[in-house]
Amino acid sequence: MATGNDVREIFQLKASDQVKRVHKTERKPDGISRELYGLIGNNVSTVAFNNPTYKPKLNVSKKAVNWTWRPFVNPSRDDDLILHHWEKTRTDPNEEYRFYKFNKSINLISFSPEEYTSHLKDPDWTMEETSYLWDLCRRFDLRWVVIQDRYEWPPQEADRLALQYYNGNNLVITESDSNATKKEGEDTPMKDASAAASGSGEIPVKATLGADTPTTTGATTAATTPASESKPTTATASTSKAVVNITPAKTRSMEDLKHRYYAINRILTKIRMSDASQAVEKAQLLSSMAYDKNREIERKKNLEILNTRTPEQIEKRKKAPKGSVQADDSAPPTPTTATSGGNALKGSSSSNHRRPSNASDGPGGPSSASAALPPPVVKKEKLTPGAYLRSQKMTPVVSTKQQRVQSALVTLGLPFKPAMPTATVMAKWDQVQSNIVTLLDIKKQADKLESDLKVVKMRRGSLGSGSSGSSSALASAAAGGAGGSAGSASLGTNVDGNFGVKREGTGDESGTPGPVKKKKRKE
Amino acid sequence: MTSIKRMKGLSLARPIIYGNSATPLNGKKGGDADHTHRWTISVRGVNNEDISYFIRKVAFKLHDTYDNPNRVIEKPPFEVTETGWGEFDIIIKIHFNPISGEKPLTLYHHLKLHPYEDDGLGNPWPKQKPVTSYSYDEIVFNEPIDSFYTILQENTTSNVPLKKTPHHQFSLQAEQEEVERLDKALKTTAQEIVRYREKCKKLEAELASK
Repeated sequence: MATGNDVREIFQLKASDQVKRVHKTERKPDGISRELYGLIGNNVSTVAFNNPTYKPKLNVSKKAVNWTWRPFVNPSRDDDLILHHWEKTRTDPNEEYRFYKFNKSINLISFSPEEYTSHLKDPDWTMEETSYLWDLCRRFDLRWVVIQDRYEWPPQEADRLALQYYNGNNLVITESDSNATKKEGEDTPMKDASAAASGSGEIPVKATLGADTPTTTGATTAATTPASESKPTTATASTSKAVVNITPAKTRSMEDLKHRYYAINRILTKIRMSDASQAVEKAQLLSSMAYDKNREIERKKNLEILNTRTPEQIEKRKKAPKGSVQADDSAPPTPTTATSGGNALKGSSSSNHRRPSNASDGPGGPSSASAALPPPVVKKEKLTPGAYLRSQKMTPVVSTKQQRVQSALVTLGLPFKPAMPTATVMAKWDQVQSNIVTLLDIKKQADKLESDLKVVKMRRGSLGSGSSGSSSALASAAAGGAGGSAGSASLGTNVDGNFGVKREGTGDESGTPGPVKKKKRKE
Repeated sequence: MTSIKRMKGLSLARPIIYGNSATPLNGKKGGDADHTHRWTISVRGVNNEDISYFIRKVAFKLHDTYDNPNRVIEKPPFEVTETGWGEFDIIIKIHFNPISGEKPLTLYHHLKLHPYEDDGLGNPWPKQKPVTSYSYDEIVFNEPIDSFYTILQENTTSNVPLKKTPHHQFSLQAEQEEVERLDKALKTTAQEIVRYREKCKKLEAELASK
């Protein structure tokens, strides 16, 4: 490596007096460690210094708040329970308990037994069951989902307890066990009813084996029948047997429950507001209680169909124009539902289905093919200030398509730009342009499909015929593809009035490998 | 700069007719090969109405072979008359009334001297008949400044003449015909779109089944 002295020798320069001392580092700072000196000393290297972030300083200016341990009552409670909690000393002790206002409850119309017997009878419902439903509605604030889930009539609670008890104690060895009934544990057991008699009035004791035909009990509290050792079967157990008869709960759908509830409400409203002065109010209330069970079932079924659409069906929906009926449209035409929410939901969900699939379709298939027919004129809400010439503000066409568009215009008998560009004319002009573009896209798609179809047919054909035939046929199809796009540059009308792009060799749709027909059309 | 208040959401249009008319010159008066035609390029309103209330001046840029190719006309009629032999593109720059605050608008016009068609009766174009090439257009002012807007309001444009006459090439009738043509085209394209959509569906189904 050449040093300064060497260079000077080469150039025969005098040795310079000024010898610059480059970067003489100080050695061994005294008193502090070398690393520390490098950070905070004389010759600190220029490295960014990251300020350490400490916790923000504690703000002790605020005075301490006094809290007291106070008793309080919750008006929502129906007992006189007094609890305590910490409260800031300054708040008013007599103030209402802050969470009381949140304890809202539903105003349920309730019926009296007389009203029930005179107006509200229903073949499918007993008064007890109706009262039970009412009780559930009150308890669960008319939340139907919960009500339907909790709904159990006739109540199986006691039976369940009995089952638990007996199963737990393993007291039962019964004939039916030896018969090995296939019922699940809940239904099969034969229990010693005597022990179970505690508390449950509804365990009827049945003579026959419990497996097959449970008879309904009176829903009313059956008299606690002590274990009648009726019908003892071969008593292999020490205890006598009796069958706990489980009456299966009648399953009611949510629509069922709602129907009953709203029906009763409507009737009661009609009865109680028979006064003419309340007619308007009555009508309003009645309309709010309109509930059509069948419609609801239909509506929910349709929503389910919508929900469980397979992706293929979504694709089908997307590709076809909005107005057309799909072949796979399994949803029956629904009447306008009473609940407007249902309709809105259906509309939005179907459009939601369409929108994401449209968005995802992006560069893929011909998305413009799914656009609706001539879109309406764009509302000029966004006006850019300035002056312009109307004929100069035409929606620009992609330059690649321009030629085709122009030939389409020629075919339609239109000039390349309108002769009298007034507002209406220009609006229509834009429409025509966009129509032409759409049409060209669709045509392209159709041609692609045709050629694909042809290729597939050729392939099928080639399985039978020789390979040479198929290759020439393929060649013709391929040439048709190339020629078609070139030939479309001059859009001439065909014999059959075909509009625009015509494939070569479309005459031989049969797919027979014939001579390649090269029809060059000159205009 | 004074506060400029634009009329939001408003859009006004004023129709103009621009173009040229040309007559061939007989060889006599300086009619050498370089001056075979006398032509006039003009910008005027329909029915020759006054347009100077919103047009301040018009600048015609002629071919460079002309002296002073930039001809600026500051008062009506906004036109330039010249003699020559060739057809070329003329750049027309319309400068608006400064109150409008709008930038000048540029139009292009191809000077037409030679008749390209017969006169509609099957005969060749008669020699002395002037050859014309005019274009109709509308200048649209989007969100005009309010003072300019009042000026525009005061001078409403007279309507385009009703019928098509030999003198008035641009009329309501012509516009109507254009609209009808476009409507027909719309219908045709719409039909074709439907037809091709059907075809696509059929082909898709066929392809899917294979």
